[in-house]
Amino acid sequence: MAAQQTTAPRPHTPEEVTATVRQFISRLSGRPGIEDDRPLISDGVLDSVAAVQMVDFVERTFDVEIADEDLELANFDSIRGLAGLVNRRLAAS
Amino acid sequence: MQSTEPHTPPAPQVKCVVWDLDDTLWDGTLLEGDDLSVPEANRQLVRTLDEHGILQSVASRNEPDAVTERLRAFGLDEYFLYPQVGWSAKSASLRAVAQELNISPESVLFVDDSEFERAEVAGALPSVRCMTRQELHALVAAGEVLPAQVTDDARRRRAMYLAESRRRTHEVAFDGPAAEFLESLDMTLRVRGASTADLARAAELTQRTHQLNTTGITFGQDELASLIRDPGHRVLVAELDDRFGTYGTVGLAVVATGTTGLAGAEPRAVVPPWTIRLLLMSCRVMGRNIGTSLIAAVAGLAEAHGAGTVAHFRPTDRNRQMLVTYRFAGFSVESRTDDLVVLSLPEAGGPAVPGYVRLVVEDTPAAPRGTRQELIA
Repeated sequence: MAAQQTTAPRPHTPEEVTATVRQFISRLSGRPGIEDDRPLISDGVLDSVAAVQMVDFVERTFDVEIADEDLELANFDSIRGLAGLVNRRLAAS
Repeated sequence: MQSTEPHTPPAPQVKCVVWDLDDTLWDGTLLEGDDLSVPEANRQLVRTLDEHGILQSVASRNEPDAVTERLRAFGLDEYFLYPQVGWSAKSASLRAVAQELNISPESVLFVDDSEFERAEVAGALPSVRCMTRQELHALVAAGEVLPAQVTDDARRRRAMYLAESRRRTHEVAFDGPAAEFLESLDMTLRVRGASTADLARAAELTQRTHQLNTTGITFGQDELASLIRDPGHRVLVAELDDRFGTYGTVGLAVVATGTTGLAGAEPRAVVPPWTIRLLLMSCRVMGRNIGTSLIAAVAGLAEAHGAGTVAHFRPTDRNRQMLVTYRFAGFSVESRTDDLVVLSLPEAGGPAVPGYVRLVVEDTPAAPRGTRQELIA
């Protein structure tokens, strides 16, 4: 918990992004092994406050900017959705 | 020796008065079998403090059961939170009360007839104000204990503390996904037009709420009072209850309706949209999706009046949560300037209220020409 902000080399391949997001979501929810397509917020696995934590996490971890337009439920409602958003942002930068 | 010099900086607001019982709250000594009586002035003071949102407790060296029974017989038991009755030092009792209520010792006032007990407390907890009941009565009469203004929420503070304490016990014991916890609370959100009685709390919310606040506009009571009377505005307050009790007034929305109260008679095309200039929620309800429910209430009211819904968002370094709330509720970004994002809700389908919140919306007509509420002097 303490050392998550060190400047380790950032994962950048799509697979690494998904793995990192998976890890973060299981930490956030306290539940390991959530499937990539499982609805997180609309199914109540996470509450809406979690979305802001997800934004902060991916911005910090992948050094991307999440725009207001990106704040759509679909981008935050599953591991696949969030990883997809990050990969699109990484590809655009 | 006692820390009550008058020339120290202004004393913090008293949040809790802790009473000794024998020869303080009541006349006589319980253990000596005296014929106990509570002076009318004390009874009155207990009620006054309670109505002003000042919490009260007890620190007494006595037999707990006997005390409970006497307080009940006097009809005073309900006023005291976390009463400390036993044989430990009174400083320990005061510490326990402050901890249970999550307040600091300097906001606690201790009243006891025994100089020995007052000195013991003052020695261990120098920031607690210690005094006799005569001194307490004098201090209240001098206007130094009661807050200048009493909100509805202050009046309910004792009940809210009790509810929050039961709620926390439940939350700690609850093991399951977020949605099931929220389901288990059995929440009801009541949204209604603000009345003059709500003004103080509403103004306080605009000044104290930063995180769950869409635009950060602060309103004084006078401004809110004139908005309530303005036919082109709705000021809505939201109160939340769950099975543990009330959270009090936790939300506020200031909406420009842009109409003169004739809406409904006009076709939809010419009804201007309702614009949510400010929407905020107390942090006490964070993570309960109450913001979405309040937005749904406003959008529902607008729709009932044939209007669409537009929302303003002014980013600060702390309020992104509210932009997320609008976006997840279906609002899309319409335009953007340096410090203002304008969002609007598509005509089809307003936001869905989460299944675990019962939403009750009271459509109080705007500006009832002074018929509904008393005039503000």
